[in-house]
Amino acid sequence: MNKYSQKLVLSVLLIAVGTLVALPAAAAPDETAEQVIRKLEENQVHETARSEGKMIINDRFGEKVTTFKSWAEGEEKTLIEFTSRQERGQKILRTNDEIYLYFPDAAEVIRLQGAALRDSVLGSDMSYEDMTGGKGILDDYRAELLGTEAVDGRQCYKIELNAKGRGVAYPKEIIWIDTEMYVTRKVHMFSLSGKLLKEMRIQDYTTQNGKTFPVRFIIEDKMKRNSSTEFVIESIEIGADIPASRFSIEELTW
Amino acid sequence: MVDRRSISLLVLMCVLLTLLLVPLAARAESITTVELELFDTLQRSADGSWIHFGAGFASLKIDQTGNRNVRSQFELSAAVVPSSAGIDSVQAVSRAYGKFRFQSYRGVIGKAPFSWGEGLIFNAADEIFGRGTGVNLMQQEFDDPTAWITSLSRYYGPFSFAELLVNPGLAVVNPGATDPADSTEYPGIGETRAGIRLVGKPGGIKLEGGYLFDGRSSAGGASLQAGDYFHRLYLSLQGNLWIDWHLSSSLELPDPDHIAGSLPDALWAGQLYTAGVYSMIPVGYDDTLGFRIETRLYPAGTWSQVHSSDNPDYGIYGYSELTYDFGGGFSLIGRGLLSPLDLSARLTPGFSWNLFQGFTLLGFATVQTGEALDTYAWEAENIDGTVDSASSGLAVQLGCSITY
Repeated sequence: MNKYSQKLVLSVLLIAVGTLVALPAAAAPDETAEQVIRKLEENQVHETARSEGKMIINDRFGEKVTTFKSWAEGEEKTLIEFTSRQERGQKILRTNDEIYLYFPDAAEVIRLQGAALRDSVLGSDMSYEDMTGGKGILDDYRAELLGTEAVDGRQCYKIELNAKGRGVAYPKEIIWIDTEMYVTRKVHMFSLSGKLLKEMRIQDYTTQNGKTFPVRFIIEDKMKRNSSTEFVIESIEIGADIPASRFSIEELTW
Repeated sequence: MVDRRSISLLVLMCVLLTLLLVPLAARAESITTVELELFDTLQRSADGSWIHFGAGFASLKIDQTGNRNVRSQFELSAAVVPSSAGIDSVQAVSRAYGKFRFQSYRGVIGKAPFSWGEGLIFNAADEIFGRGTGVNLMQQEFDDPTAWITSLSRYYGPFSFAELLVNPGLAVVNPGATDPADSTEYPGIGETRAGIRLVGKPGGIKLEGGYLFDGRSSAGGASLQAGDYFHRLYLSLQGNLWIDWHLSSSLELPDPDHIAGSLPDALWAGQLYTAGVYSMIPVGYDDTLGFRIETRLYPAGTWSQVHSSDNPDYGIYGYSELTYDFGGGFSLIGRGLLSPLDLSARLTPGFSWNLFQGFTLLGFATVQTGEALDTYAWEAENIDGTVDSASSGLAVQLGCSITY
């Protein structure tokens, strides 16, 4: 995997690690779309989390599996270390408004800021910038509550997002948010012409320390036959004791 | 008489055999990785003839993982070339190092990857071990510089550290020596390189500065006599102003007894600057456009086209790279090395396609556009007018890389 392909993989991992935690909240049927979105974003903030997981990319050539470990603190600090053979030892550190990629074969650190932070993420409505806490969904999209709808037996708010400008990957999205847990259940991403491009579905959740969060989701590319990306959290520890030095250049290059 | 190649093969066989015999419990403490990069190459020589050959690169890497505060790596690598005598190869121990950490200290000893300063191809802070104007562009990832080092680092915060480093001179092996005691000639202490670097991030800009005492020189075309040495100072910055950028400068000063001319002349002759910009920009829904532009400025270099010497060190060179990633593991790559003063270039389009787990198809072509004595010549000649048969103005490669 070259550095550019790896960057896309990392994007998905960052999204997944950043959306692990969701805080249960009471249902409020008269909420506006903006209020629901804000609660969703609040639920994505967690103090610390340590996890191990894998990402499975399926296409017509078969299956590619990338495994990893990750450590996260709040919105702004994430360290991901690859453990699969092809990428072993490669790491990504996200802190504040910058991203560091580490390639062990060359002992090389690449620091990314600026435009790279706006890079679209595979099958998601989020970007590096979203993940660094700089911008939220409502900064880029107008939200409209279309009503409620059941997804996999759970009642969800159905919210349409329309881009305010051109600086986003998808001009239109529809997102289904659980009315009780304020976690995403399903997302549809559309082109400018209104064609459905991708669908993301959360397949499994788990509860730990009284909190429920997604541990398996799949993104299907509707424009390609037999193309999907599955993300699985195999173990997770919320509130893990993570030293501050974990998010440093010393740990990145170790 | 057993030649060196046979000894190398014997060593390789012993290592492989040892790997097979390692107890299972011990094997759990290490991870073995094999990497192959294999190419079929069609190449036009400078004399106009065409050659067609297969060649590749193989490595066997063993990483130790048993202790969280200790890491080590041993890597055997081989350039593989099929010949009339079978598959021929040139083996090397490309890495053999250990590192440890204790609290905020880290130590490294052995032949390890080594990188100071900023820059992919041109890096004024790392002229000795870095890449440079002759780099082969037909490869998925550029060769990683390694050196035998002994270093100790102290970390002062999330992004600040100081590193002390020693790089001993190189031993000379005399395979024909009749007395085993004379078979290896060890370097004198005067050939040692030793230095320090400081890295921090004041005001959001990565700042790196360092000094290296250099008892021998492999850079700048200089050749040292016994007792000669250089002082090398460098400063490197990296930040973001709409796009990511880096800037490095270095100053190389000979020892006082060997300064040619005045000190101001030496200060002028020792300056080197490199700079670059790079970014990755999202395109459409999944695609990414990556670009990198770098330049190398040598103020005391040659600033007009000359055909009177081999490899004139021109004052300016450039490198550019454009990559378009289609999001499904397929990337188009365009690279170019440019010598503006003789108007020659080495241009390399290519592709990379990660088809299966651990398997990537690779294709590259390279064309050189210059005249006979230019830096990147279509049909290169030596200074005496003879054809430089080792040079090629056009090459096409198709191959793959496999990791397992």
